[in-house]
Amino acid sequence: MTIKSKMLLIILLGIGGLFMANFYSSAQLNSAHKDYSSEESLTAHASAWFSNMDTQFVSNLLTFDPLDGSERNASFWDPDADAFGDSDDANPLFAAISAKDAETAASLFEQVFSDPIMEEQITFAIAYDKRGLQLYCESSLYLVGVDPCAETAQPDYFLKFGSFVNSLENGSVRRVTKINDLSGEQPVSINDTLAFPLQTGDERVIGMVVVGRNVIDSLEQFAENFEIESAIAIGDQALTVHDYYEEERPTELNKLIRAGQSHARETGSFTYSFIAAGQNTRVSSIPFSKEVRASDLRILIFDDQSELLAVLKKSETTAYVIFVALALAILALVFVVTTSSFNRILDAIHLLERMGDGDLSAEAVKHSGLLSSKNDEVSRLQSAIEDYRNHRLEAEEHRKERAIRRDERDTIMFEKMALLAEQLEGQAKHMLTQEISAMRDSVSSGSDEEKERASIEVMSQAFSRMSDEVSTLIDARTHELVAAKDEINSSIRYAAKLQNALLPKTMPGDFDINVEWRPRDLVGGDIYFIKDFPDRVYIAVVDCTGHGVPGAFLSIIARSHLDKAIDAGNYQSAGGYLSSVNELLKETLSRSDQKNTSEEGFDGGVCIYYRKEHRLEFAGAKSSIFNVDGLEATETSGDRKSVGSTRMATDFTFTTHEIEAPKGAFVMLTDGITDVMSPEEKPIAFGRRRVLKILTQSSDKTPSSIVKNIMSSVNLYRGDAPFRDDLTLLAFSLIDDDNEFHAAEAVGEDS
Amino acid sequence: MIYEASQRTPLVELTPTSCLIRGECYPENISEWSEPVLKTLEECLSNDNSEFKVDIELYYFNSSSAKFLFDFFEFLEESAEGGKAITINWRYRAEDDTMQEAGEDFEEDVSACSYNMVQVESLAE
Repeated sequence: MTIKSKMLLIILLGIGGLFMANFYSSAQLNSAHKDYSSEESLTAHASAWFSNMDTQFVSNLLTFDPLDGSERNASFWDPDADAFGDSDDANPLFAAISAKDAETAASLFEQVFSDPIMEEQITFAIAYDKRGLQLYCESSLYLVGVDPCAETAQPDYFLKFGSFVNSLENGSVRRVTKINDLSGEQPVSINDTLAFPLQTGDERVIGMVVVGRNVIDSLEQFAENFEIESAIAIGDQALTVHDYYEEERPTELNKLIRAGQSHARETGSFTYSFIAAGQNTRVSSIPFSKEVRASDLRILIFDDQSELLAVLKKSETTAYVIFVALALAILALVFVVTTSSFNRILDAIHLLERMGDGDLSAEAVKHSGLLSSKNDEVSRLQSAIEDYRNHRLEAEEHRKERAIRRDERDTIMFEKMALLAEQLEGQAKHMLTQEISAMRDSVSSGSDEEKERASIEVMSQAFSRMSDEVSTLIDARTHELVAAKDEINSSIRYAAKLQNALLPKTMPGDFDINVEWRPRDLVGGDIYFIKDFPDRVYIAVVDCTGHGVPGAFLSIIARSHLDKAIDAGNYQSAGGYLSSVNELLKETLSRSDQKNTSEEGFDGGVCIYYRKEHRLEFAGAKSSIFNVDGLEATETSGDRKSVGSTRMATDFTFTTHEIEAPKGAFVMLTDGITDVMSPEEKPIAFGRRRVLKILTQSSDKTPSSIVKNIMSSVNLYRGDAPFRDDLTLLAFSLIDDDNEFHAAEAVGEDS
Repeated sequence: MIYEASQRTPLVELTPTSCLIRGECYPENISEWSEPVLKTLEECLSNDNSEFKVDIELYYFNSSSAKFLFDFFEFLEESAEGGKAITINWRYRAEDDTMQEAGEDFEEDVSACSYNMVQVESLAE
């Protein structure tokens, strides 16, 4: 059973249940209403009937009562007055009765009653003496039922006359009197009666009077007023107006009477009201009067309710019709809504099932209509599914893009691997080629996920393979580089050997010379030069531009020019010598390209010592020569020009500084010494002043100890800082007896 | 324009009215470093400002850097001859005779610019 059928069934059962409940409650309400209206009808009829009877009784019968009656009538029953003759005698009626004079008594009664009877105020009047002898009887001309004065008429009190008389001893009595026709020809006459005694002055009862009024008139009037049919029931018998007029009772009325009587028998109750279903008539039964029991005498009232019942029936029917129509409408509406909703849900399910099978092409069917809206559950479900489908489509797009990118990636990877394979040889190449084709196979078959997985796997495999190969290649290259570096290093070491070989190996015998030569790298731009001739000695300390291999090249050129510029045959001043070197160097380095403004050349100083003259000459290019003699240290600065520089005029003449009778130690150095920097953040160069200070303060002024002192001072000064430049420090002194003596003397003085 | 200092090159700060060089100068390849600096200097000098102030505080420079400084001063000289009022302050520490002497050397080559040797208190820095 589908959910839709279940829902419809539940709604159907619900409506059925509601209908039953409504039906039951309406039936209950109806019955309660009937009970209430029975009660209502009983009370209304009874009070109307009783009040009618009472009014009639008071105005027509009670006027004759000796105590409560009208003054005129009451006076007739006064034993001491003569109301009849208006004499002062006693009441003639009482006398006549006492005298058993029936004729007189009758004529006197006639005076009282004939007019009221004529006027139909009362139906009859009967007078008896105390023994029960009828003294007088007169009845109306318009009688229904038996004539009370007829021979065959027998009032109901007649059979129990004694007790009837006794009942009057306490005064008048109101009662309902039935008068039967002993011959059975006339129907019983039912009368509202007043019975009163005739009493003498000593309260002795001498006779009695019964005045009555037939109630049929009242009943007729009542029936007319209330638009009803009526009947009088005496025990099991019934009397109707028709009986009195000797008419045929209508069949309908008979049926009603029978229904009423049988209801009384069945219920045992004689005061009731019910609707006789067959006749559409309300049958009510009330006691005839307050003085009688309903079981003895009662009035049956037949009230035609067919109109009311018809209206009720109609309204009930209308209610049922509306109910059923509404129920059907609701059912139909629910059916339509559920059917349309469930159809859409079924569509959605179908869509999902198709998506599950991988078919993303189907779009949700758009439902429109009165009963569907954008915000109802099914529409939201549909839009959610539509969103899901779009996401799936997007994902599919992404997947395709990814596949394309993967293919591109794979292609690039295979290309690179193929390239790598090209670089390999023999077995390795063969293996790699085979691997590539295996990888190609693995990424070109299977589902998308498998391809993706395979691609990643292949990529990592390829990566590790390539990284292996590449690292092998790198190892090989590194090996080559290391070998090349070793080769270069060994070349430079050999170059260093060569540069070393260019340094002077023998010193002039009359000189004490000590040198510290330290290129920053294995080779450098610094070089020193000593050339010993019989008459003179050349000493030069030179710092060529640059360091390392280019410095070393330049130093070789410089050295060859220092050599070449020597004019051994003639006197040559130090300045002239340096100028010649400058000229030669500029010639060598003269550039075809004038825009090349690089500054190849050298700074440095040259000394020429003429033995014979015992004279020392010095010339410097941005260089000084220091002299320490005894306690005093002096500095002689050269020109502030570099040798060979483009700024230099070719014919520049360097100044010659003459030192006559040189004494003490001389020091020449390159800026490798003075430019040693202190290790702090804003360093200060070692400088020439420190050199002078060391020279002044040294106790031992021999060249070796000077070099040692300056070097240890420089090393101390630079701390951890590395040398920045090549460095040359050369100290010399002349050895002759005099100088030796002077030096010793100076040392002695110093200590 | 600011050229940050490196281990072998000084800090150079150039504005349209001033130039500051501070630090050590001994790059492996002087022209590689000096060419952009000189080019920027040229740009800084080629405006209508009537004054240009140069502060140089060096602690060490090698011989190839000396060539750069010659070119640098030559540039300033040309500009000063063109009518710009250029002031050069050569700042050196009292105990740094090397830099003091270097400054004095350059002073000899400068005539059109106003050249001041300024001794600075190294301890305060």
